[in-house]
Amino acid sequence: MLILKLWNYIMGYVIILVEGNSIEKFINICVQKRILIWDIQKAGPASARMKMALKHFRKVRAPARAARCRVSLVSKVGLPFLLRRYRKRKTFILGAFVCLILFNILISFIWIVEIDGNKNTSDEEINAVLLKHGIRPGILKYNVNTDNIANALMLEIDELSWTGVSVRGTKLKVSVRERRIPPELVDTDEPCNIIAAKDGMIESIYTQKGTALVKEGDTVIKGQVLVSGVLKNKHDENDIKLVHALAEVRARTWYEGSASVEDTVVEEYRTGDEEKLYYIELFNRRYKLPFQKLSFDRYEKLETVNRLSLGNDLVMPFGFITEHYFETGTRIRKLSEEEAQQRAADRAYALALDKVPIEADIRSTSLNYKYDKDGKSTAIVIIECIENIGMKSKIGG
Amino acid sequence: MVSINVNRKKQKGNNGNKVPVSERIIEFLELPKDIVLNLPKITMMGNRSIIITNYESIIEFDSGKIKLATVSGSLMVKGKYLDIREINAEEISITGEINQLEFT
Repeated sequence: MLILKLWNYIMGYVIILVEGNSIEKFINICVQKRILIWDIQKAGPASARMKMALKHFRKVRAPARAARCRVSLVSKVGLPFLLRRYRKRKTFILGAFVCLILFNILISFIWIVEIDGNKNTSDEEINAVLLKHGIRPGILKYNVNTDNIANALMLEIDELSWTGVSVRGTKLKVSVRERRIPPELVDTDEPCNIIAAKDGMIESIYTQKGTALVKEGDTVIKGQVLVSGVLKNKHDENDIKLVHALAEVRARTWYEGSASVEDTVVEEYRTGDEEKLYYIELFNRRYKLPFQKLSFDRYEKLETVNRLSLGNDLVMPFGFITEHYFETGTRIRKLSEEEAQQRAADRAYALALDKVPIEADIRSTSLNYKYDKDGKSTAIVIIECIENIGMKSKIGG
Repeated sequence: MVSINVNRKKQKGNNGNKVPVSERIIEFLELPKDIVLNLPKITMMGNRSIIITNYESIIEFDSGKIKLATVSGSLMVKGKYLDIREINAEEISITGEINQLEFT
């Protein structure tokens, strides 16, 4: 049985060689004297090997003598022998113990705060709220109440619709989800019209409730009433009913962006000179190693942080930071005709795209160049989309 | 001569089976014989291991044969590569390749 083998190992045993003519007598006497032996194997006509419990080994002299056998030690197995070897190294064990305690103490603090899921809310905003509630690197893990922090974040920052705060290892992980501002809704009981939210040309109109005032192909301007909530009785002019108009009006819209074509560009380039600065981080403070100086005026910086950590979550506040600096300079480069035009076109496209709302379907993009009398040209990009331009508006203002 | 014939008729059971009276009583009462009479109980697992409870002592020990003393006489286990796996005052466990068991 495994548990028996384990037990024997913990208590310790010896492997002995018994040599003599009456090994049977030896075994009988051992059994009688309650000396624990096992795994007895004959190793020759007058010798046998067996395992004996360590604590009974000293009693073996009498049986050996009575049976006229010689007992010799083959090997010692077990925990007691291991411990004996380390008895001389008490300081080692003490050191190991102290190390373990120190490690545990270090682990009980929060050293890193991680924020994820935020697109529109800045890290600083979230960190400010955390700081207000006393959360920052270096505090004890056990004092942190994750529920309170999650609630506080949600209450104080409007844009968050969900927050999750957890402590893992030495990290405080803050996860947020932002809400989309819901559109302003008009009460379904209130009568309203559907008006154009922007200029466009009607592509399709589907009316559920109300009277449509425009049709496919019509050009409309912003604010124009597309579907009226006023229902008139054809036969009786005075009989009118006000309803909450419902319709889906899709129209073609255009967004324009323009940028002038420049034949030169100012750009930053790397001169090729590099320098590295080394820092040591202790408890979230940086200390620059001595005899180092940065000699560049303009540069690009790349920072590598190496922290002592056990796995992903148990991060210690000790690290080694390398700042890699690349010297940069500025120069004016003359562009070829195509390059200049391409750059202007890209810029114009980006400006136009910025104006396009997320829900719009982009159908086509057109690029044109306009030349003026000085010979300078401008790139004009027009993006044509199809989108829903219907917007509810209360009757009567 | 007539008396001898009478004696012969009184004998029952298998001829020559000398089961003592005490044992017959114990069998009748269905008491465990190994505890009451100290008879050895032998458990074998195939021909690989044999456990004998209630043995008295080891008479001979060799990798080819092990002879034990028991209440029922001496029990000889013959085979190859015989080892004593465990041994204590009540029980002995022998492993190896077991070929024969003999009571003498």
